[in-house]
Amino acid sequence: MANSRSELSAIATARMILRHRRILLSVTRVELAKRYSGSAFGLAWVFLYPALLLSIYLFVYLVIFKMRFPGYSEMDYTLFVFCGLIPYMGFMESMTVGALSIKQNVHLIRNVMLPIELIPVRAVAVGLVTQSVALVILFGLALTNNSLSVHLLWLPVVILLQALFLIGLVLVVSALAVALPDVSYFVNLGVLFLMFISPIGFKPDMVPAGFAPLIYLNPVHYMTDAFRSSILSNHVIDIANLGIYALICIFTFALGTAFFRRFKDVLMDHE
Amino acid sequence: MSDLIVKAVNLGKTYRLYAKPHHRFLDMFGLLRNNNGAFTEHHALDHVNLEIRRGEKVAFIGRNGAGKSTLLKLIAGVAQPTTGTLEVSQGAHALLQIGSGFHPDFTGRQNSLSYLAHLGITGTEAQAKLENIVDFAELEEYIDQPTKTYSTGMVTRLMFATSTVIEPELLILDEILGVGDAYFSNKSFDRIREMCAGGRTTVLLVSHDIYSASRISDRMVWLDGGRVIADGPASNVMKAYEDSIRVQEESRLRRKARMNMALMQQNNPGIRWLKVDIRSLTNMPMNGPLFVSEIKLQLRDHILFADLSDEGLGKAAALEGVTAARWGHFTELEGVICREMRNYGTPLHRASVLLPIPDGIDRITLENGSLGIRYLSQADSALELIAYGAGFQSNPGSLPESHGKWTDHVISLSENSSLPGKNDSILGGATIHGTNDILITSVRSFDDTGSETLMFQHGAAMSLEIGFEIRNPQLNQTADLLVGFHRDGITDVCRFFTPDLRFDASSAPVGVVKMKISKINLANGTYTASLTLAKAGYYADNPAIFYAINPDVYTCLSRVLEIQIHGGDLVASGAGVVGEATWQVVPGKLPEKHKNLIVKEVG
Repeated sequence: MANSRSELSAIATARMILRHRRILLSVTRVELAKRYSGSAFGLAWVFLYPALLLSIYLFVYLVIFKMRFPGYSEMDYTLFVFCGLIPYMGFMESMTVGALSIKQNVHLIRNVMLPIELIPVRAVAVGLVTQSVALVILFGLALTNNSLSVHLLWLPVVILLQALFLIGLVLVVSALAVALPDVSYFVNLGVLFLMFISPIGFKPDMVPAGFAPLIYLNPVHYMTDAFRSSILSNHVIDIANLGIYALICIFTFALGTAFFRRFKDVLMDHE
Repeated sequence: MSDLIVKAVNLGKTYRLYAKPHHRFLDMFGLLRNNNGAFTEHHALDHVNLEIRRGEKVAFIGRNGAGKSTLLKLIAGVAQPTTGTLEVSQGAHALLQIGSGFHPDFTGRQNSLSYLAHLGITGTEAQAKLENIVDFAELEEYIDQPTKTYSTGMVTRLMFATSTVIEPELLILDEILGVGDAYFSNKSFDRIREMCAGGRTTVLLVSHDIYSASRISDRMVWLDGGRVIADGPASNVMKAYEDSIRVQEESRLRRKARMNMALMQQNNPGIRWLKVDIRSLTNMPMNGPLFVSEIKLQLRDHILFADLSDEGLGKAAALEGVTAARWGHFTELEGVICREMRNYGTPLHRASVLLPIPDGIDRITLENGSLGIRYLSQADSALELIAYGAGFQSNPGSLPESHGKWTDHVISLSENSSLPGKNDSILGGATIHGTNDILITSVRSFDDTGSETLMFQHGAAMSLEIGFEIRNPQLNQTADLLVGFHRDGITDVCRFFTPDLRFDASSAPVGVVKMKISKINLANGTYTASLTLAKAGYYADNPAIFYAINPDVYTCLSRVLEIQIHGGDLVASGAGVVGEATWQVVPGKLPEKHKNLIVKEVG
């Protein structure tokens, strides 16, 4: 604690998370149990929820919209959509839950039970659990379709970068939402809007030239691309895109942690 | 020093209270450049110096808003100081807020384990702690039920047990002592005491209840207005604090007594002011605003003008106990400076002005006077004028329509003026009734040393001095005086009665009735006193007419004096009156015939 002032915020925060990894693991488990406590299926929802959610999207894209790319089988298209949708689910959940995380868990800070930074991190961890379960379903589907890529080995790195990206974002919005609750409404709307303009059900090159910046300025585009590169064998790998993805994630983490360090001292005054 | 746990030097904490939510947001980012009423500052702590060593048990005492909780928050690291430095050794565990964080759908077991998980306690260690928790909270049968099915007491017990199962280096407790019923409360004291028995745990606690705080702490810090007033051994600080509370309580009672005395003075014949109300005759909202440029009182050789300035109207509003102004700003209408009586903003549809009455004007002069008002209204409403003074009321009548032109209207005050002396007034919680033939002008209370006070020791002497003034010059009567003490303003718990006081207007038109109680047997608590002075035989005859309008009642002052009794031991707490009796132990057997009244043998 004492020497962390001189350290870079990003490194100090990363160290702090590592030091508390055991607590983080157990509180994430508790948080998940809390979410589904009192329900008949209990923790089975951790699997059921993503499975049902994916089925709904599948039904909408394949049966109602009847979207198909030339040269793609039905299954190919399904896998393409899921590769975008699943990381977006993780993004969406982390952002919406994370924005309110500090405001709703003030008692943890008051009673000095968790370092304040760990609360947004916990929200991201919970969000990534749902995503991970969905990914396992996806692997199963890809395996039956024979389209699982050997680059799968890189997936942990992609997810780690995604986690950094989300932690950086959530640290900022959760701190802002303490002072101004309106922020969480903006986050919910923003996440919804991003879902429609991000290349989840369509390919970036299907977008009219005039709207191209909407794709290339959208960090979600690089995220979905990285997931597809490491999971799908029929996906064309663009090294530049992967580089940009890594940079965005690390930069967002550095920015978010620096922002949070700057404001965490006054945060509780505003609660 | 290595065993210094907390060291605060010139510690200060300032909170900003914002006018609008977005000001808070802007200020967080330093974007609130100049403070144009966007926030006000509140100094919760101001230059606090403090050193706390390992193993000390320190209680912070003081009134609400003294800064106790803020100080604990700073020490816990939950908030950051604005000025000064604060060094706290690691290992603090705070219980600043009990009663949150438990999920209603989780079972007691799950909630406890989840709490421990947040502190990094898992696995077999957590299981061992859980046993301790369940045992302490006495919830064996319910621990696997969701906490939403628990009673409030059960949840509190579980929370307390869970949050005190760990042994931190520094334990910070904010108002969490004495939870649950008396039995559990004692148990929780023992638990805290055990925790710090080893001398390793330092305890800082805040409690409004200084007596329970003193059961745990050996050192007390008294905070007031964000500053340390006293810091030292618990017994010394507690005594100083108690004394100060007593002084504050005494001055509060005195303020209240002064108000009641003022009411009695007001009841005297001299009329010092006349309040003139303009109000809606039907109590319906007015059709439009009424503009008033002048209200004047014409007496025999005086013309008095009402003060229509903010100050004058403020006084009138204060007299009524209403602060809302029903008068608009000054405006100019057809070349006349006037003020608008609004037809909105109050459900009362009434506005008042105050006319100060100079000395030497008596009721007769006043009744022969007349009231003049100059007004204009575009949409006329049914309005009336009423004039009030101490012991005087006149309903001069309604205002004619002005048809949008400045109109002068003069009304005689003798119209409908009420009977002199027959007056009930209500102010500050006390009420006065009666014919006022004999007027009680003051009530003062003294302790056994003869000094005036409103706080009495249980069992000590007390005397009352009741000032009177006979207003009926023909009066020569024996009167009954009854002094009643009621607890919490409702039930009379004790009455003192004398039937034989002589009042003779010719020999003693003014005087004092002295009453001495050699021993107050009233139990600890707050009492209000009421005095009723009535014609001799009033009580014996059991009158059929309600006392407030009974012509035999000279003066009835209700709730005019508020006193406090303290210092009685356990015997005098919770009781109404502590009785006295003579006791004797008589040797020998109980007579045979009484035996079966007391003990019924079974079988």
